This record gives sequence, C-alpha cells and structure tokens, in this order.
Amino acid sequence: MAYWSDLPPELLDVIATHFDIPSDTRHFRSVCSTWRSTIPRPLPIIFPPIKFLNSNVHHCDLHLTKHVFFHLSLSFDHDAPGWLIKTEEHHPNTLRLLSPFSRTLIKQFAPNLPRNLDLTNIQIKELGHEYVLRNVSGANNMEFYNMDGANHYAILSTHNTGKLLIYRSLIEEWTFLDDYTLGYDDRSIFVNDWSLHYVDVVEFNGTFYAVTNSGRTVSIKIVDSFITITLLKNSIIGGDKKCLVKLVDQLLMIDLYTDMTPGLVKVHGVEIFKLDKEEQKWLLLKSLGEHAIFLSNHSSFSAVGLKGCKGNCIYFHFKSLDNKDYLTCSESKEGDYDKMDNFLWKSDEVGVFDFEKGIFGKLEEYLEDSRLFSWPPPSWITSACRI
Amino acid sequence: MASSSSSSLSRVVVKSSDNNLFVVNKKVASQSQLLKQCIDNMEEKGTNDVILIPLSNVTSNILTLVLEYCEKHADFADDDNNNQELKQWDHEFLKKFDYATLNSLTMAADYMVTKSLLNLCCQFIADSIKDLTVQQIRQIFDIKNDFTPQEEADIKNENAWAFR
Repeated sequence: MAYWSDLPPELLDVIATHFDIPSDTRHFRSVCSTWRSTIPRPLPIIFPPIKFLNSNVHHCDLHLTKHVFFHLSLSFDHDAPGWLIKTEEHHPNTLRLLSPFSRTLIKQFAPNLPRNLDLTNIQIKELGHEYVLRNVSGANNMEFYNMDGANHYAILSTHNTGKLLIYRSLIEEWTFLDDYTLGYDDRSIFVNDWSLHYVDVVEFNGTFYAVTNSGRTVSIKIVDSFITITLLKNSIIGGDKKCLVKLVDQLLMIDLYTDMTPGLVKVHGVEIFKLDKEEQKWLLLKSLGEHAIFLSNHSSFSAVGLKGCKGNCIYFHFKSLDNKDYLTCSESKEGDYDKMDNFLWKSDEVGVFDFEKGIFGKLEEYLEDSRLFSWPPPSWITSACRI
Repeated sequence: MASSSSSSLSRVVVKSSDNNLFVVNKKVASQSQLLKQCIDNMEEKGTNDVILIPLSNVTSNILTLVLEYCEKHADFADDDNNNQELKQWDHEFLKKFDYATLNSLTMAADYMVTKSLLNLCCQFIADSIKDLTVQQIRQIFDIKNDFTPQEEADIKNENAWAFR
C-alpha cells in the first residue's frame, strides 16, 4: 500500500511545477510535514523597474503591477455565497482591493472586513489578471510576457495615440511599433483613423495579439531582438467595440454592438469569435458552454462554475465600458467608488447577455446569488475567518 | 562484431513483483527507459535469447496499466498528427483510477522511467489539487495532519491575506 505522504521529493517537485498560482503551492505545502519540507515557499512576484516612457527622464522608474481576480468560496458550505474580488499584491500576502470593474483602489474598507483573512480553508480560484503601470494614467491596456527565465520579458501596451507601445527588457526602452502590418505609417504620432486605433492587447501561448475596434487583428511575436508582426484580419464587419478574453486554452474576441453616448452605454448585440490556432484566423463561436464572461474596459475575464452565476452569459459593467470617456469618468467617479460599501451590482450598471437565447436579461434572473460581487463581503468572510 | 550489431530482440518478458510474466513487444517496452536500457545492454552483448526483466517494485495490476499506456504510445510513436487523439486518450486513461491506483501508477512510472506517463500523472495530480483547500487535499489523498501547534500557526500566517 502506497501512501501519498511518502511520495518521493523529486515527484513532489514535479507536481508543484504544474501549479500556476501561488495559493495552490501554499496549500500544497500546508498538507503535511513531508510535503512542506520538500516544496519551498513560493517567491513573491517582483517586477523589475520599468524605464519611463521618455528616456530622457532619468529620475523616475515605473512599477508594473499585477491585478488579480479571485473568487473565494467556502468548501464546507455549498450554500454560502462566493466573493469575487480584484486585488493588487503590495507586499507578499498584503493585498489592496480594487473595485472589480474599474481600476479604482478601494480606500475605505467595510468596517467588518477582517484585516487578516486565513485562507487555509477557503477555496481560491484565480479567474484572471491585468497589468498596470503604477504612476501612469490607467487608461491603457497592457500585457506582460516573461519569455525565458527571470530577466527576459516584454510588455505590450495600447497608447492614447492609438498606436502600440512595446517595452523589452533587452533594451530597457519603450518603442512605438510602426510596422506597416499595423496599418498606419509612422509619420504622424496620432492615429486619426479609428479603425487603426488599437484598443486591446493580450498574450496567448507566447504570442501577443492586438485588436482595433473595427476588428483588425495582428499577432506580435518576439524572438530575441526580432519582432514579427502578422496581420490576421483586416476588419470584421460587425460591432463597434472589441475585447480580447482568454477562455481556458482559447483566445476569444468579443464584438459588441454598442450605443455610446457619454455616460450612457447600451449594448445591443454581441458576437463572439475564437482564434483558430492552426489557421490563425477568427471563427464565429456559437456557444460559451458553461463559461461566463465578465467585461469592462480593462478587466475582462472568464469563469466557469461560479456559484449562482449562469454559464453561456456575458456580464457587462456599463459604467466602465465607455472607451472614450474613460479618463474623465474615472476622475469624476473616483469619489463614488473608493468606499467599499458604495459598489453595488445594480441593474442599471450591470447587463447580462444570454448568449444561448441571444437576448438581454435581467440581472436578478441570471445572477441568483446577488452577493457574488456584493460589497461589503459575505458574512462568512466577515465572521468566520479572522486570525 | 557483425553478429552483435545484427542481433536484435523482438520481444522481452517482464516479471511483476507478484511473479506474473508479461510478454512485451520491444517497441512497446522501449517506452520505458528502464526496459529499453535492459534491452540495449543485452543486444550489445549479442544475446539472441528472449530476456527476462524482473521488476521488484511493480505489481501485476499496475504493470498491466503501465503496459497499456506504453502500447498506446508505441502505436503513436512515429505519428505526430494524431497528437490530439492521443491527448484525449491520456486524459480518459487517468480518469478511470482511484487515488490509490494513481499513486502506485505514478511510482511505477517513476521506477520504470516512463517520462511521459510520469509527467501525465503529476499534471493530473496537480490539476486535482488546484483550487482546493488544505483540508480537502488531505481528504482526497488520505493524509494526516502531522504538524505541531507551532507549525500550524506558521501555516496559518503563510496562508493569510492582509488587506491594507
């Protein structure tokens, strides 16, 4: 009879290499003393300082930060609502909370939120993440990709000008991508043609993908000091807003038909495409299966099996969906958001698109558990897990 | 010299720890680096007899499973195009087993140096642990909590989030 606690150290090591998130490794090494002595504590992710966009500015470095979406639930009480949060790890295991669908830091916590939360008996699911540069206006979408080992990485970012910016650790410099494949020439700084204005970027299987609202899609592959840009799609006849979302091992493009009068965003229709990895082209997708997708300007992720949350649906956060007014919006609304209790999932702020039926639904009908996203946190968080 | 290079075995006999004999085709056996090494050694010596390889650590139940895996992978060894089908097969293959069998299979894959099977098992184990709580992991693998109160406190600290 073999015992799991007697698994040879080299096998435990191999198992541990398959964990993607630190909380899985921490749980793994908390099981028994053999496992604990074999598996080292996961190292905190520390991003190297990034040079300022203008290389003449020497006195200040930028800091890349990762925002992570977690879903927490109680393993022993299946009726207890889950809790979805967006976090920023400040120091190892010290988190700041952000409002889930914008980039606003929550400065005033609910009074009953425990300042230290014991996670030993909490199921933690990492749903997705986004990168931001601290000290820089948070309007751009960016993606970080670690190419090999610790010191070789690249960051691809959208920019206010509509162009794509890339930062490579090899040269420690930001450069505008001006390959003709991107559609624009490099003579003017601003891209005036909105169909060439890149709005979203993602890293998928080691390649960056960028998309414009008209559906123009390029892949950007970096090998050593070479950047290869390939045009996958010139345009897509369809909606007016595109978002890229990873769904398990697939890359999706969500195409929204919207009506964007400032301050009032309406979504009239949705189409979803998935990337054909072999052919490198978009294919229309008929169903999301059990998955649900959550969309806002900067925070898109997919989830499966969240308690009380129906699959094959897309959830929008209208207030943060508006591209053009994002900067002014975020400034004027900061006051609304920085208190934990002020973020509520209200029907006028959140929309649900039922992809199966092709219709918009009422939030209450699709999100049985209204506390899934609610602030303040569910009662099992505020009562049970204090240290 | 000429006779040694032309000598080649087509089959080997593998003996499990509970003394059952398995006749294995050489191509299948070569999926295991341990068996392949034995075959190569014998071939170098120029033996034409069928060789017997005893595996003192692997019971016949588990050996049957390892050989089933090796057989499938030997079929696909020269054919990259069927990768997707093989991946699907791998996934279905491991899903059938309880955790005790999975444990023995992992140990056997390690002992017999069947790297792809070992990696598959480790990935499967990691996937079954993902998102689980510490208590749930102990339950599914039947592991006792053997920490002292002091270690217990350290673990709590390590697994805590501080909101600031």
